[in-house]
Amino acid sequence: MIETKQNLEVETDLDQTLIIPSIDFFGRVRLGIEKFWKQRIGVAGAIVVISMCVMAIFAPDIAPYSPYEQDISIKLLPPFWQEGSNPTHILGTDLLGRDFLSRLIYGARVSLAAGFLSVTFAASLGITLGLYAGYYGKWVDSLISNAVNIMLGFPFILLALASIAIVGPSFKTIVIVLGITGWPLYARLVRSETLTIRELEYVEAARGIGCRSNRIIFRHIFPNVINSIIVVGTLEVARMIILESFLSFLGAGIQPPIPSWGNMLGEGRFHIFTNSWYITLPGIAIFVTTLGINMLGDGLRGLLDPYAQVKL
Amino acid sequence: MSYVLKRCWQAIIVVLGVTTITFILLQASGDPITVLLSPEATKEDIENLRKVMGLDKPLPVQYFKFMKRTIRGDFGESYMLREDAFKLVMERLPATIELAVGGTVFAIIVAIPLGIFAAIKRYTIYDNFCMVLAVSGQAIPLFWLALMLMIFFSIHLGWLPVSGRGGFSHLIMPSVTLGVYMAPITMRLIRSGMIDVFEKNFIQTARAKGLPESKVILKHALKNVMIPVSTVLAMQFGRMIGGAVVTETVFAWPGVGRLAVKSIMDVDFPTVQAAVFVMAIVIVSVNLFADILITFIDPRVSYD
Repeated sequence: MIETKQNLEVETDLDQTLIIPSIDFFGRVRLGIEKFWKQRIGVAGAIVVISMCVMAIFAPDIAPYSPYEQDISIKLLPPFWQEGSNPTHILGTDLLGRDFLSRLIYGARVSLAAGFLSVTFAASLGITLGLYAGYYGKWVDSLISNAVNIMLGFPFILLALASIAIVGPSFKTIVIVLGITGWPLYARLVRSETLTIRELEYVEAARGIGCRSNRIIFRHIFPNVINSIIVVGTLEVARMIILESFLSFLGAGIQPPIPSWGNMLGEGRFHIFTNSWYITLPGIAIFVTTLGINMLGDGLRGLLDPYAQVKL
Repeated sequence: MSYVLKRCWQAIIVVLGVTTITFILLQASGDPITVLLSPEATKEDIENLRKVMGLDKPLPVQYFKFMKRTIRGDFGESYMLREDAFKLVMERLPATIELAVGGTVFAIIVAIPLGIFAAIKRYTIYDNFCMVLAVSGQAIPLFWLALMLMIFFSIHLGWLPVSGRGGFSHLIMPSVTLGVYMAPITMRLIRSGMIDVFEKNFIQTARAKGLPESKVILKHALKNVMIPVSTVLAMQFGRMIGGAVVTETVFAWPGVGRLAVKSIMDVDFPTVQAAVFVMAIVIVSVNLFADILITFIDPRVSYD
């Protein structure tokens, strides 16, 4: 009796191992989340990013005041840990007496939106060009590769700054300019992966049964480059947020009175000697966000990229 | 050899491409006449200046002329400073090089010990700590770090000058800022390189011979890691110039980056063109040099 029971157990074990490859989509997602959960750094990053997003989405409900409400009589109130602070404005007030905390909360909207949108734009452009360059080779490849090299030989910031100087600063222009300056990274990455994948047998098979090129590129090759794109794209969001804030800091980005962390830093620059908190606080907001995104990206890298250790 | 020629050809294409993009961008950014003349200028004045500057010619002609002059390093006079734009840029190049060297030195001083340490203690809490440092260094906004350093060391402690270029004390904060930008990637490269090398046979041989561990690490392992690390760093030189632009702007460091940013803001076309051209040449030649050098140093690397 006992022996048979043991046999049964072995059989069920075997069954389970056999089931795993045919696991359904949600099962795979669950497995992925379980694996991700073990990487504490990535989880911490995800928590930070999610809370920042929540803060940005529900800014009107969270912020104690309107970010545009001015009151010159209480301008430049210091935050709570300094003398002369006012308990109704926990983080003080800015140059025009607007509540600093409310402006910081609203600032998350601009920064996160600019980061995510510009990366989406840059990635879709870069992925498409990279796929075409890698798949078609020859003159298509040399044209796109040369364009990539030229873009990478250009100091990124100057290109962005010059383009914005032309079209004039606004949220839309910033997203477009950051997107256009950001695509070469994805194109280069996707191109080199496509070069390997296009030689694989299943691509050959797809061509054999008469699939058209576009179908092979987007149905068969594209899904296999997504993993590395997700990792790079995540890290790029952080870089774009920093770039946006630097442009706003120089006055070439989001224009006042719309609150953005970058233009708050730009305003604070003139108070560096008297009110150093003015510069400290928006910077911390940017740093926490980009740190969260970088940690999330590192976690995803460990999860999605089996060659993480080799490729760095 | 054909590889070297091919790479040189590519480098030339990049420089020409960058110059062309700058030309297009500046053409799109509006009429320089409006900047040069006062609003009271008559129509005749405008027409005259247009003729003198060759702006009345069709665009392809202007482009061709522009490229011909570019090759000779002649970008015309700066609109703002009334001096030869190329000369202005070249005068500021040493400051940028000084900053780049300072930043690299700081990055290496921080990254080599930490990278080796993380590799020796790999997958432990110490390694994790080093990785957290690296991730923070990657995440910190460079211009904010520069401002925070200013607040702490110049305003609170009064140890270092706030901005500008001068003696060694002026160089410290900008170098640290740029160094923090470059250190994380250097550290990660050294760490992963060291971990790879530790598995190799010649390291085991060195240990078996009874060499002290410090000698094994510094003489046998590190030397082998530094070749790929320095190539990757040379490839990252463009990124470093980008970092220098930010650092120079915040610290009012009189380099090419700050000049470029300022001339973009001032619509000073000749200076922008000269600055971007010089930067592109520097970036491309450093990349090219590293690329060719590695094929000679390391015979395992071949490009076909």
